[in-house]
Amino acid sequence: MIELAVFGAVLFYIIGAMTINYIAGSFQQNAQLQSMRRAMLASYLASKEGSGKRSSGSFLIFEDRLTGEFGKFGAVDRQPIVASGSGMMTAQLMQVTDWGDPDSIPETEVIVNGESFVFRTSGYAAYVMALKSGNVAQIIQIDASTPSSARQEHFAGAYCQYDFTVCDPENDECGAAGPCVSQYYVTTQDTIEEVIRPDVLTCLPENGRAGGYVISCNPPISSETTEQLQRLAREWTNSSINRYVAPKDGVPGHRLPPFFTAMAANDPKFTPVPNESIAFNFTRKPTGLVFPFGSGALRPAWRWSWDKFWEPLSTDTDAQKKLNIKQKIIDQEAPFFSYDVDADLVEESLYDVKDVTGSICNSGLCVAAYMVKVQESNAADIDPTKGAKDFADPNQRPGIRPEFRIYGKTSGPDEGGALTYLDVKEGKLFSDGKQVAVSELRKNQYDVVERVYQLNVNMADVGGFLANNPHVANGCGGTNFQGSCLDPNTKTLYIRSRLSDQRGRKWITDLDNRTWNDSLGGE
Amino acid sequence: MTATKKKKAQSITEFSAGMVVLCLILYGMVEIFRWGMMDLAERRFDHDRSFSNRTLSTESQLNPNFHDVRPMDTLWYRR
Repeated sequence: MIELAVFGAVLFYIIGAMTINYIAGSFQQNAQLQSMRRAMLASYLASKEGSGKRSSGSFLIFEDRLTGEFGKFGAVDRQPIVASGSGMMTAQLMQVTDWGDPDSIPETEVIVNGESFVFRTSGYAAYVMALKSGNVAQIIQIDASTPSSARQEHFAGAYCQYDFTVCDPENDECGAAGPCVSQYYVTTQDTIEEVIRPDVLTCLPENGRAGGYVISCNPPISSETTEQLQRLAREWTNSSINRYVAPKDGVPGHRLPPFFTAMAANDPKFTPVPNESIAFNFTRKPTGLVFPFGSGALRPAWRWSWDKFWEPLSTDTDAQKKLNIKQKIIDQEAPFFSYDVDADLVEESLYDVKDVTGSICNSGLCVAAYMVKVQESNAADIDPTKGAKDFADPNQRPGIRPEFRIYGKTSGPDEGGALTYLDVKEGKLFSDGKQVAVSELRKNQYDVVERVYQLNVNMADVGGFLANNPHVANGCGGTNFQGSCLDPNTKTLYIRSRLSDQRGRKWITDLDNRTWNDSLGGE
Repeated sequence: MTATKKKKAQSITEFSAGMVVLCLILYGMVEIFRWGMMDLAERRFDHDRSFSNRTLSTESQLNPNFHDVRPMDTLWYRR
């Protein structure tokens, strides 16, 4: 009989384990199915509104579910359930996007314990770019919103001095045709990405190429930053194959030059860069971009979009909106193409180039300049093109951080008094009027689960993010700790979910006045 | 009947009853395993079927809570 009892107990244990696994599997499967459905539904609803924000819907779901367990206090542990889903159900896939149109900015959504957060994965930016040719070249990139008085500071701002060899891009000969060493002073803003100039980095010691190293910087940069420069430089060199256009249709193969150098090479206002004789042939549309330089072949437009002309067929607003959507004409030869305008190693969607020569002046010296309007990931709430290796501090990588905390309540339920939440650490002693040992085996009625989500540190539009997420407090001071809040300085989002669990019961066997014999009914 | 035979009979009876209970538990275990897994599988089939159910509107076809589990007991101080 003892064997049967033991065997039966083992079977019951297995049944319990299977039930726990089933419950966890059910939660996980539900999150998976739900994320995909949410993505498709969001895509469909946005499409009905004529919005391109969710053409490719994407959802990430976090749930901290109580798990079944064998402890005598009922379920106290929480199991994180993570599921992501994406889907498209849209008629807006080829929708025209206008620069500055908020309805065309792609979004993704993260749901943490039922609380929704919307992140834009791209943003609009306008840069003024100027180059002064001569012995000293200055390439400056200024946000178009920068006041003109502040723009002048860029002339006298930080710069790095490079020594590099100019390549022959047509024959892909770097250094082989003899060194033509120049010293370039590149004015920068204070980010590493802007220090990196592709025209400097294409000629590196890698692959037998000569030159291309940083001589000095003013102000000085740390050795760590120098190493990062060199690493980025190697990556640029290794990826240069992707920037080589193969011969096609009689057009000889050539390396894609940096955007601004390409413009300068074809503009009589600038002195062409030595050894770079590259022809361009942008397909120009009557209503599309007008480039300041002539014809040639760069690359075919690979981004689907539509030419933007249609006639409103009705004055009724709703009807007109629907008709306008239908009237948009598909044009595979779209004016919008991608190019790494600001040399941050990520291509931007280029919308407009406007000659603003004369507006960038310093002490009466004006330089030729262009205003470039782009859509780029660097202006987004979260930059999907960046990983941990792109930052000196890996915590700046956009996305969920590994930090995860559960705060448990140390006293009874909220009865109007202040709630005290403490970081739950097994066996740690806390003083809350009386000394309390917090144990994971104690049953708390409330849990506060905190996750940390890092946004794009270069995020430009904090106000827009807060407008999209009105439940997020601006700043984490004061009483804002009670909920989700954004630290606007570090662009860190603290997500705090207050989870109630009032179904559990604490079973305690009182051992004080009883013995095992009592428990078993003995005399 | 001798005491030895009585004890043996009792043992056989108890063992048989225990074995019956054990078999029921074993059967229950198999059934629970089957129910659990079939439930997950059928839920997925049900989800997939809804996509091609033309009697439903598009919103209903894509209803995220088509099969819902217990909602999270979540509290917010701000909404």
